Amino acid sequence: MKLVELVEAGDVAGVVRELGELTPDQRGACADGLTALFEAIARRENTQEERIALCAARLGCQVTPEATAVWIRSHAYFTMDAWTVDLLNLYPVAWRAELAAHLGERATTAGAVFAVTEHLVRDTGCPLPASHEFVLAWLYDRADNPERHPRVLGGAPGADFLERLRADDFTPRLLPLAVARPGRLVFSWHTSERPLEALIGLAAEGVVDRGELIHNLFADMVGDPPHGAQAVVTLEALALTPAEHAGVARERAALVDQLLGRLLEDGTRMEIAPFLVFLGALASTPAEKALVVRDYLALLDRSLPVATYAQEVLTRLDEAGLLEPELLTEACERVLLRPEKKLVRAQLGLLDRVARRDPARAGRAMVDAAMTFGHREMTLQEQALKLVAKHLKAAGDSVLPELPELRAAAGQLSPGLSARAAELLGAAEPLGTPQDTVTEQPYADVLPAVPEPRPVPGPIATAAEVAQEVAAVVANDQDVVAFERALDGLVRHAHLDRTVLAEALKPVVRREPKSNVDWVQSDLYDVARAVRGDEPRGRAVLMHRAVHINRTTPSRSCSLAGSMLAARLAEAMDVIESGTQPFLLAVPTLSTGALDAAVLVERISALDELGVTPAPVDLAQALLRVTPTSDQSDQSDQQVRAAAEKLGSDAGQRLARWLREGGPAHQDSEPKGWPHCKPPKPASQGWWTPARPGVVMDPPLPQVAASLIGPYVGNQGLADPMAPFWVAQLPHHREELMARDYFEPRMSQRGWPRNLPFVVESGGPAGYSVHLALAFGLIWQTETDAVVDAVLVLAARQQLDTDLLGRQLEALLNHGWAYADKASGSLRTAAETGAYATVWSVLRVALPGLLGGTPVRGAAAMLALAVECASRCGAKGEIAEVTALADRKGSSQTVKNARLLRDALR
Amino acid sequence: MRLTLMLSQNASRGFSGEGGVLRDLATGATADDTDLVSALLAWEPRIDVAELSRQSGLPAERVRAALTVLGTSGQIGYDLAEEAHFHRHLPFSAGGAEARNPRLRGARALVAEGAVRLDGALARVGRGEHVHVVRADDAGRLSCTCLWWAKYRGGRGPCKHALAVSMVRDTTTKAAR
Repeated sequence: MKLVELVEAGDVAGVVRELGELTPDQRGACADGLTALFEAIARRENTQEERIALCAARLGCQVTPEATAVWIRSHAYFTMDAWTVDLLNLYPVAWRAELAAHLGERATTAGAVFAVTEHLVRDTGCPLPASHEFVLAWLYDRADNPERHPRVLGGAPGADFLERLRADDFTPRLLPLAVARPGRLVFSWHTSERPLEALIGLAAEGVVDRGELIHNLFADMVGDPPHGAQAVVTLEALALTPAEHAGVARERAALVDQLLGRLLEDGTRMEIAPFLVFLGALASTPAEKALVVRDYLALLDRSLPVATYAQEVLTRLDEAGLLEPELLTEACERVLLRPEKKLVRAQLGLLDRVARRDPARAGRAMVDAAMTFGHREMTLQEQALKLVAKHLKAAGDSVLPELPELRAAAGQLSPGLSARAAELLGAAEPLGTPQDTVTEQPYADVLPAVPEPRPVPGPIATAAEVAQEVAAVVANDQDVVAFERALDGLVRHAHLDRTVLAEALKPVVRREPKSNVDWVQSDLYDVARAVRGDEPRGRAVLMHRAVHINRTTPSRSCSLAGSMLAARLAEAMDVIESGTQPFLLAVPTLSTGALDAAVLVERISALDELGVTPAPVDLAQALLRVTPTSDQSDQSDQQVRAAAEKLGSDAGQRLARWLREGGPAHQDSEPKGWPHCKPPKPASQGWWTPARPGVVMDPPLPQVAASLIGPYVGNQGLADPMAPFWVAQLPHHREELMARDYFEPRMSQRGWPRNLPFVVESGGPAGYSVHLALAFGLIWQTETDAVVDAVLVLAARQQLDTDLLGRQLEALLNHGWAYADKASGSLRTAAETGAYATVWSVLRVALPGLLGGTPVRGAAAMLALAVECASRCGAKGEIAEVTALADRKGSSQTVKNARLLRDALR
Repeated sequence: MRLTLMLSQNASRGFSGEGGVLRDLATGATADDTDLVSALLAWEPRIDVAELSRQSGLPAERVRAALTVLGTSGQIGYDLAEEAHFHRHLPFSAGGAEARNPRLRGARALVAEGAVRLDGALARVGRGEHVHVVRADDAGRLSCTCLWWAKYRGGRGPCKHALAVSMVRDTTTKAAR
């Protein structure tokens, strides 16, 4: 093929010549070969001549005008050159005119589309395309004024854009099209400001009718609203005169209507910003705004930027005397209880101005302002109270009619402010203030009911039921009771009839649990597989290693609790395989994981009768769970101990000794020297790692079980967060549990406080570690509900050491966890459930250390909470640090709140 | 003026009813019952089950099942405070809501394929590698080995396997009568 050789030689003129000698069919036949050549050339080093020759050859092989138009449009880097003119001249005039029409229909500003079209129009004299795209491309071309290659027709003379437009013979035909639908030119996405600039410039010179342009532009905006930023630029460039502004009132009203509707839907700051600037740029007159005042009122309920905008509009309407008093009241109802201080302060400022401007409205304005008395932020209550006091004084007797209303509203004030309100407004006789109730009967916290641990149902009766329970554990690995019963069920029914159980488990093993790194309850799945004799998964092989684990070095990813769980599962598989033990000892009798001693005595005695030695890890777990029977006076405890002493086996004697000794001694995890020294290294953590003394068991338990309460070697960062089964493994030693893996670097795992409710419902002393976890939870403010719940339940069980928690909070807030505002947020949530006294006892201990020297950041919020708590529970007794702070000069929120607290404590 | 506060277990679940009437839809009413009751609905503000039962000659429980079907297809509503059905036509096509319930559809498909094999208190549902075992406890409550059941344990109504078993049991007891 000669064409290919010419391309490879880079002979453009030769290619054009050769194309001229071929018939259309022959040219079409070359297309595939040239595409292949393109692929080859594109992959190797090539010259510019080669590339241009190839381009020419490929263009020439498009046979119909349509195909040629598509090719030109899709090759953005193609340029109109002298050779292109030669190539196009090969075709008859009618063909070229058709190509111009195709290109003009969907002209783009990219590549050579416009240049080719213009050349063809000027060359053939065919009709000028009239599409909007063509008009736009034309304006861009005249603005950029790209240079034409020799023999290419097109362009217009002139030094600048407007001059070129005036000199252009396309202008008389294309400009009216531009003016008729200016929106498409001005607001299209890839647009610059040039079309707008041209239109406005030509309008200024009288070439274009400015009135018509403005009218059409607004019509286009209503039909297809542009992005806010574009609208702003356009409206600024147009700079409408007042008359023109009034002339498009109808279009502007339609736009405002659309935009307000969109703002009512609300969205993120980024989403709504364009609508806000658009609305601003439309510059509605106050009278126009007054017509849609209800829409603006509704916006006050939306997100902060929307509400702020609406508030500004309404403020200006009020200043123009266009806001009815009823509507102002409604605006206050919507704004004054919002949490954003900025909005509330602005609204109070507005009410202040209203009252000053028109004393006749002062009474109503003050009743409006008094809505703020119900705000949860005490500083805002105080601001509103000051405002009321100021206007009450200014008005003398004229405000009196509203006094009862104000007095009633003052009942909502924080107790720290109610004395001042009573002085100002007089005591509220008919309505009882909280203080009255305090004097009548002593205050007592309302704490939640102590949750009773649920008893664990008896063993599972049938193999079919075991299968369902296993499926439930595989689907949800958080339920301890379901897991324990299912594990026991597998052992029991495998012992009774393994074939039946294997068959029943068939639907369950089809679906593997979601994968996890640390051991979790859903790993019960592998026991089910073992029952059926299925090929063990890789995880089951690892599980067997956990039995022999020797924790002398930190683990890489598995928790102590996880290793214990894996050891139990692996052991259960062995028990099933050997068929010796008919059931498990460690199944708890309560949902906390606690195991009734009498029940364990019965279970061991049953095994003794069968002559079966219990599996060691199962026995160890049973012992760790057994409820102590150390009450010497309790008769049933004595009976249980006596029954245990009668057991003959080693396991029985072990239990008897365990019960006699009352189980492993409880260990205190309070670190040495805390909290008076600096936190030990790594100090960046900002907390004192709990002490972990560890009990060495005699006779020893299997290592995995002994590690749970024994000497601790640490871990290197766990893969997964704590799970409820951790707590159920040590139902009488929660302090030891929390002292170990919990405070390793895992702390950052999301959702970690979720298990605190399980911890507080569990048994054993709650000391340093449990309180440290609660203090962290309060400061962290993730899963606040779970943390607050845990604090309140521990308080209800009378196991919350408020002194300890207070000292923990103080130590953490002073050493790198400076989030006093977050801590007071969580504590406020706790207090508002009715636990003011409990929270006060925590704050009373925490506050002194936080206020000395420079008070910790967020101290103001904490003091505000303290005022509320102390007032509500009637706490008295001076705190020297608070008094010292209150006596300082200045009007910072911290000092103000300290004064309120000092007064409340007097 | 009465304010009714309803809480859903989870915002994402909305007021789905948690499959509470699925069993009635699957087994309770035949199309004939529903047509009959629908024709008898007089324009009383309150729909009286005893009266409908007398007029139609159907037992009250079948009338109730028929009303459930009419309720889910948007023909009548149920007033929680009055504990009574009332007239309320919604622009639903009859059976539209029912056809869109994936569990009910799945259950009907299982029954149609003959994939339910009863075996005393147990039933095997499904074919080939997808068999699940549905178990009836002493009180006749059904439970299953499938993932739906394992996750919600009946808290969101029966699974499609349990529904299919109810439908087959219902047909066999009716046939035995």
